[in-house]
Order: sequence, then structure tokens, then C-alpha cells
Amino acid sequence: MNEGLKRHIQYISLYQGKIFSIIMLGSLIYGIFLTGVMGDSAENMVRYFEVILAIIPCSLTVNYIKYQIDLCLSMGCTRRNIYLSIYILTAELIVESFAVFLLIKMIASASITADMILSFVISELISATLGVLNGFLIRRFGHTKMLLIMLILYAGLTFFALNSFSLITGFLSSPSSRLIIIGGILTIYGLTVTLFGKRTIDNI
Amino acid sequence: MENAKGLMPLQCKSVIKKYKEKEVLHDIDLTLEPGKIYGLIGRNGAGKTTLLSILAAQCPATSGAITLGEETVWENQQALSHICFSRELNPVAESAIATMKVKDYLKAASIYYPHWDKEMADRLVKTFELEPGKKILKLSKGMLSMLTIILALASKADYTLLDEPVAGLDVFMRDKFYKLLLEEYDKTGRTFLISTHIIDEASPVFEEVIMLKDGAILLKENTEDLLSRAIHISGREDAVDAAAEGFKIYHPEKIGRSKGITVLMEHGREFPSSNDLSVQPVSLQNLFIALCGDDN
Repeated sequence: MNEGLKRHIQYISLYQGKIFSIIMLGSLIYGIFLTGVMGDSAENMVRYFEVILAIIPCSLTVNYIKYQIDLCLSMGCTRRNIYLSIYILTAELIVESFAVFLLIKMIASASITADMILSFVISELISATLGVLNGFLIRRFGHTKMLLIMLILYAGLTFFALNSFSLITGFLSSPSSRLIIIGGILTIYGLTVTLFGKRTIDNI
Repeated sequence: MENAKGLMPLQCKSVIKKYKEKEVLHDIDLTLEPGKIYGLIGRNGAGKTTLLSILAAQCPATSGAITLGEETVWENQQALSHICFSRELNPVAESAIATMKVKDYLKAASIYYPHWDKEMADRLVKTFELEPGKKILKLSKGMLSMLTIILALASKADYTLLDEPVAGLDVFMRDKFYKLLLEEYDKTGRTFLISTHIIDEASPVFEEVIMLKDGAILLKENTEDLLSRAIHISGREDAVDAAAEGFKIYHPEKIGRSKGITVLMEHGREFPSSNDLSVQPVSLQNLFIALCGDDN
């Protein structure tokens, strides 16, 4: 890893860790409020956190691409390191979210199956892909035009997250279909970063 | 500062910049020698910020190249670690900077600039009486300028480019900035390229001045040499016209039967003395007005 990329990742981790912690803390307080004050069930609280986890990669990557790139470029970061950091950011997010995911399942005393983990990873990847795509579209076409699309994406993502585990588990019945789904999402993700990212960031 | 790369010139070779069809920089050739303080002056829209952005590889040139020594600067992390472009902060625009606190912005800078001087940054925050916990969005224009100055000086980059660093600063703070700049220059011999509109005040600091007009470099010269060639002549109109024959005249002004002109003489040439004429030295700002004003 080159020196510049190391420095950039150091900054991204700082920024990402901070926002990740704020989102999780805020969600926790809200979740406790829902469970305690509203008399909601613990099962729903777990489901609520799963939704939050599914939305986090989308929120953070949108935020990174929309707001942070200018700052990074203005401090001498190269465009190549920005592209690379988008992949690294997503991988890091999945790992961090996974720790929270395990914690939720432990609290809910649920057994963790391989299908559950895979469906979690797929949800996170889809979320990150939407975030990256959305971030670049906002940069290219402006915030106002993209606001509506962003809201639709968020709504769609929330719906998807609510149903993802049962939906995806059905698709994951065979190893080949697992491979196809993950490969497909990674390809879409890669194409999104390359096509939109290169054109957008090069023109900043 | 003791590295070979820092001693290489930063060069701009045949740089053209177009925004869609509009060409804003025309075939710029420029060499910044290490160990000098350069002043970049030009009217609004002359292309100063664009040129600085291109020099720091923050904005792509349409054609041409920027090199540090033999290496291209574009996408070259090693070369970029020797350059700091401290641009005017615009926290209203949608960017991460707006919502950041002063201390977070400086923390980010400390991560990105390999030679960052934290002790200096902390000292300057105190000198300028900035509140580290204050959001950048809530800083006044003067305070934003102070923050860009802190970034530029504490970055310790061999080539430091500042875009209007004194905009919004009061006269005392401007004085403080020039002193800090000269102090840093004396200590390190770093190269500074500073764009400004407050020309006369900054001109004693500039070893060389680069004048940009309509996207092209009008001149680049040692400030003292340049000012030694520039004179303002006034007197009766006919006497002025007769004396100025054969010289290129700038910024003619007529008041009744009197006339005033600015002349930039060629190297080694002298203006003929006459008792009928008043010959005065010209300040850098007045020379700039003469060379870049509408009447030319």
C-alpha cells in the first residue's frame, strides 16, 4: 500500500468510525425508546437494528462521495487513491457492521447460520452499491434532481432490508446460485465505481 | 526541507485549461524556482485560482503538464507530498469542510501532509485566537483566512500555494501574516506562491511577481527589477507626448492640458530627463492597473 493511500485510509477510518458510532448510538437510543416506552417486542428491536445495518453502507458511502472527496483532493490525495478507498471503505463497513450483526444475534439468542451471514453480506453489498451510485449521481446531476431518486432508493432499500433475509435465503439454496448473486453484485459495484467514479472524480 | 525533490523547480508546461468551450488559460509556461516567494496578481477572472489548482493537481489541465523536477505531478502521490494548495474556504458550498470543527480540519491536514508541524499549528491557532471547537461554517471571513494560513504554514510543504490568504483580514492580522510568512521563509527557504488583490501591501514580500491577464502570463520578473523599469511621467500634454515617443505607453490620464502616463522601459533603456516633466517611480499596484486596466 502506498504512503498516500495509507494516509487517506487513516483519515477515512477516522471519519467513518465517527459517523458509524453516531449512527449506532442514535439508533440504540431510538431502539431502546421504541422497545421500552412504546412497549415494543425485543424481536422487533432486533429487526429494527438489522434495517439500520442494511442502510449504514448506503448512508456512509453517499456521504463520503458527496461530501468528503473534495476535502481529500484539496489535501493532496490522488484520484486513484480515492477510487481504491471506495472499495476499502465498503469492505471495512461490512466487517464493522458484521460485528454489530453478531452482537444483535447474540442478544436475540439466535443461532447464526451460513445462509444468514451470506444474506447479511449481500444486503450490505447492495446497500453500498446503491450508496456509491447515488453519491456519484448526486455529484454529476446535482443534489436537487437526485433528492427524489435518493428517497426512492432509501425507501426501496428499507423495504428490501426488511424482507431481505427471508427473500435471499430462498435464492441461496445452492452454492452456484450464491456465487452468481455475490459475483453479480460485486460486478455491478465495480462497474459503478469505475464508470461513474472515474468520469465524476476526474472532472472535479 | 532537506530533500532533493524540494530543490527541484515546479514547472507548468504549455498548460491550456478549457471549461467546456471557453478557454480560461492559454498556453501557460511557468517555472517556480525553489526558495522564492512569488506573488501572483491578476484581475478577477484572470485565471489565478485555476492556475493554482492545476499546479497543485487539484484540477486537471485540458492539455500540457505540471512537473516537479522530472516527474509529472498529476496523480503522483510522491510529488504531491511536496505541494500544499491552501485555497479559500467556502463553507457555504456542499462539502465536508462546512460542518467540520477547526480542530477536525487541522487533524485531517495532519494526516494528509507528511511534514505537518502540529506544534506550529497549535501555536498559530492561539496566535490568531481561533476556537478549536468552533465549526468552520460559523467562522467569519477573516477567521477562514486565518485557518487557510495555518494550513499553509504548518503543512511545511516545499511548494506552498496560497489563494488570497489575506482576504477578510484586518490590517493588524495582515501585518502578522506577512511577518509569519517571512519568519517561516527565513527558517526553511520554502517556496511560496501567493495570489492577492492587496498588491502594494504584499509587494515588499514578493521576490518575483507573476502578472496574469486574461488567462495568459503577462510578465514574470524580479519585483525590484520590474519596478526599476516602471515610471510615471506627468506634465504638459505636448511635452509628455514628445518625450514618450518611441516608448510603449500605458494608462494615459488627461486632466485639462496636463497628461500623465506610465511607461515600462525595456531593460537597459533610460527615459530622457527633462525639466518640463515630472518623473516618479510607480508602485506595483499602479503598474498593475496600468498594464491590466481596461484602457489597454
